[in-house]
Amino acid sequence: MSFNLDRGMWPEAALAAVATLAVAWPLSKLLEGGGWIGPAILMVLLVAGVGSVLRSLDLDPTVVVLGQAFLAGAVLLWRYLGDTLAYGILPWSDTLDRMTELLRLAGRTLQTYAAPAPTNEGVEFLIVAVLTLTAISVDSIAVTGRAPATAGIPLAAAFLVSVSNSGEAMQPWFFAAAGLAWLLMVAQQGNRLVSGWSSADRRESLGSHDVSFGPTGHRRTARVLAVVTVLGALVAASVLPHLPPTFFAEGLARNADGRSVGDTGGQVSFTETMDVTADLNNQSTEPVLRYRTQTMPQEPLRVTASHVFDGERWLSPEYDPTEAVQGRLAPNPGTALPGVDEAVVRERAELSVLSNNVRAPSLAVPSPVAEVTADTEMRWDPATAAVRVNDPVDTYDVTYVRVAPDGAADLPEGIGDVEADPQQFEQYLQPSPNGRETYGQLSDQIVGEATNDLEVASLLQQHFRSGLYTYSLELAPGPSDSQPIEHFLVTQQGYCVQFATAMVMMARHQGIPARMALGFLPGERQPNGSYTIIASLAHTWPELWIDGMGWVRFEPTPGVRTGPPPSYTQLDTSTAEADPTLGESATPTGVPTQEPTGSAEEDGWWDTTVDALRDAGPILVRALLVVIGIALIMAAVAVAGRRHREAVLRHAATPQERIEGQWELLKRSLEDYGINPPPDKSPREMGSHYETQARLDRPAGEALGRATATLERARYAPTVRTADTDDSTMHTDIMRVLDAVSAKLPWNIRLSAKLFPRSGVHYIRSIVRRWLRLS
Amino acid sequence: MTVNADAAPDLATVQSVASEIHRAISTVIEGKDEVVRTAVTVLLAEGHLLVEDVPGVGKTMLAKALAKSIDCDVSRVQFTPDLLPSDITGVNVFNQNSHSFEFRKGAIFANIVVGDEINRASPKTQSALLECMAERQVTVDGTTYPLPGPFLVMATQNPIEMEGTYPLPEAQRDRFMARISMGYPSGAAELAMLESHGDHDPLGALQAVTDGETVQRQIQAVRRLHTAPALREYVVALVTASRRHGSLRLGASPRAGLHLLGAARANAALAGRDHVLPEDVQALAPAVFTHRLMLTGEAQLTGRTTGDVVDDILQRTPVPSGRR
Repeated sequence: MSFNLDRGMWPEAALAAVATLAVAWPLSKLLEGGGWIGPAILMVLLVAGVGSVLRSLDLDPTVVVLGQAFLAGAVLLWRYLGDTLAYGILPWSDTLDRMTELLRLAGRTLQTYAAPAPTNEGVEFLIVAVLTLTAISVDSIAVTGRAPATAGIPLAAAFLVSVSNSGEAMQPWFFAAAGLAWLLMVAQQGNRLVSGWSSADRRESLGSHDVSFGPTGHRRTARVLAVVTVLGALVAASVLPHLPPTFFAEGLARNADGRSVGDTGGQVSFTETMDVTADLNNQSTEPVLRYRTQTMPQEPLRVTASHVFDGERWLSPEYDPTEAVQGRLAPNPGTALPGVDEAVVRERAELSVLSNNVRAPSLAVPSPVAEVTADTEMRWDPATAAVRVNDPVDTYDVTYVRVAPDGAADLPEGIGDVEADPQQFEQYLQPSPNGRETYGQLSDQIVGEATNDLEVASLLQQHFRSGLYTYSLELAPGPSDSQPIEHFLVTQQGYCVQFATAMVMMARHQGIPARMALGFLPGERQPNGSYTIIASLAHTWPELWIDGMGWVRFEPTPGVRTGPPPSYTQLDTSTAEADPTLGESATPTGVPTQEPTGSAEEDGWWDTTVDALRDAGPILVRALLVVIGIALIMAAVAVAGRRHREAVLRHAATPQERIEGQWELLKRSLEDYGINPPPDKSPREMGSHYETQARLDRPAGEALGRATATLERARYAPTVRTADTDDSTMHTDIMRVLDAVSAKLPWNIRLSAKLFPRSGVHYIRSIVRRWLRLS
Repeated sequence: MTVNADAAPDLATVQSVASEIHRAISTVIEGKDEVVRTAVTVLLAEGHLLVEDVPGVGKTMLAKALAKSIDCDVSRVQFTPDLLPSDITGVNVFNQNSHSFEFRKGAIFANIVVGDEINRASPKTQSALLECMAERQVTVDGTTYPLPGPFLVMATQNPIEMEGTYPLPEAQRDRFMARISMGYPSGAAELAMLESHGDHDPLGALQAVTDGETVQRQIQAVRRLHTAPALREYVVALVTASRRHGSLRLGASPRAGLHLLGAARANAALAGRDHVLPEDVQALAPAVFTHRLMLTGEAQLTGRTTGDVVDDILQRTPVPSGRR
């Protein structure tokens, strides 16, 4: 075992590390606090360093990769799970438990918080582990496997995870950094390849067709291409508009309703229809509303609410507004709010609308609203808590109340303990009979023993945000029109309307008054500090009456669009773990006949495992079939390759023909190794072609020379001179050449020559072609 | 096809004779190994040699040196416009004493005929010479006289000074097996030449190293060299390729193919090999082909030479493996 610094490929390893870190860079936008950065850099550098040292020792590539994985895993365990290791070194059952705990914590955090999420221990462990894995795969593909172009796949995967979770357009330089790092890796490999060419290749150099001129010329072209590509990508990334996801979901140039984008710009239709679907699909980036506020975080702007659900859709409420007031409307002066306990902490916040395109008589205001100042006549509708205006108004100021701004800490004991009066809230307590069996059973199961209304509501909200459900503007196929709630609960796919409707109905089933509010998500902050709301930010959410808190907003719709749920609805972790819905993510939630979850736990882990295996069974079988299929194809190609290589030899009758067959065997085998056959030339010329292409060592070169001389004699010398023994000697020589060539190749090419030889592909192609011609 | 081992040509003798001649010529012509080698090859292949170059580079010297290194009949003809065909072939003269016509042999009756500035003679005289070259016999007044073996015509001509000359027509150029051009000697060779020619005449000092009979035997040996079918296919492929080449108005004749194979055989013999390789063919192809090919007008305008075209043909023509 010798140490060879050059074989370690240190510069390549450094570039691979840089590329991994470049794709991890956007993560800094997704996570609050940079605690993960240091450990991540250390791990990536560790992987690169260990890989280089192992390569320097000229170890087998497999050993290098395993060594990297082993050491990186050990360091990860020691750093994050060190106290659970038996004797300080051995992973134990505690380690597994702790790791599960960390990963669960990470999963919960990432589901609960919108970007940027706080970095706790779980998140840090997850991120560092994932980056370590990325670093190992990039290093093993790009450096150990010498295929930096292919390393683009894990890099792109990691990059996509980084950028696709932010919900907003990423800055172009994130892409530029990752792309540049990747290009550098490819360029470095090119450099090494070219500098590895022996000077013998340049001996036929003449004029501008000089061979040594070639790589330099190509290098210049490649450099120009790389610069143009990066610049082009940067320009494209900064010039092309960041399109809302619906744009792609609907097909690029297709508009769902056949309307041109400009026509509906700055307008919404849900204020009349009570249906936000059309607005969510609106691709217009024309602002509906622009406002300015100092308060963080922003609340959604509420337009109206509906409590009437006809089993398929929400209907417009009957408005019964108060007398119109000019200039200033104060439905809730001060911070006193109907139904809100005195002990609940409240604070006032302000917001100024700079431009407004919401059609009169609707007006969008944060809730609960205290005062509105506008240059028009306004009315207050207490039943829907909506502000109504007579004429369109362009600008207005709103003062609203933030209830329990710091979450549960602002709430006194006993909130939600008392059930709402069924008489007073009769209209808000009518569960839709349509699909009640499904959502009723499910909600009972979710709520379990909880009786406090706030806790019940929070459990329901958590169920929807737990990751079981997919946010999508496309509903799953099926009869969604007639059974909207049941369809949604079974398919677990939908957008805010489905989430809000299901939660409203479940709350009503549990005896909590509930209605559906319509309005807008807060929108994006613009560089000038204002916020802009576009039509596709239309949103619906459930409002539940909680004793002591009044009408309270909940946010069951997951995803980064909606942001985190209101702080007062977030449960303690201890409560969350008791949540029975979290443990059964593999089973469909909407099936009413399902066994209570408790029994599975009693039956023990064996049954759980068996169930899990049964569920995974079809997938495993399918995967197995795919693997077998691939193996069969490879075997067929390998066998075909052998037949093709030995085809001439097989049909040889005379000694000369056998020698020709041996030569053909050499030619086709070398082609499998990526050495192109020479054109039909004299044996000597072909021999020297292979000598330069394969860069053989002395014994192999001599063997090739003997084989060439044998072929020459077989072709041109008088018959008597060709001894029959030439055939076996030549075979030995050819095998020596092939071994020498194979030994010099990287393992991946060697493997693909064995499993998926070019000659096999060629043979199969020729058979197919012949067959096609016959038929 | 199978050759009896007893009849295998004595290649060692061929090699030694050839190298002796080569060494002898080299004492006179310095630094022109390739040219000398081609000349010897053509001698052994029973061909005729056309030496073409500007004056003063040693064309005649080469011809004389080759002639002198072999102890045989040598004649030298200076071609001039007033040279008559009968000067070449010979003529029947009436003998007053015997009252009969008797044949007086012309210059062609020699083993080695050196024809200086062949393009200066009238076409009539040129064709008289060239007919003898191909047929190796002379017919005068109905009587045929065979020419002795070995028989080699070495003609020189000056391609630059064309005034008052009769350029050889294609058909006649075709009878020369190979054309070589001497080229200027390298600086070192020229210096050595000035030195050696200063005090003595190297040509005068040149002694014959072999005789005509020996050379004739070597020619017989060369003739028996084995040529594989694959190789003959290669020669045909090259000749055919020259006829199809886009830059050529006139390709190589069938005789060119024969000459190429013969020259390649001699080349193989000089290398001591009893069989001919594609490399032998490739080595001789430029010398054998270039003087027979005619470029198209376009190719001439683009500055291509027949040498370039021959290189191109060699580069592109696949070497048949002989496998079916």
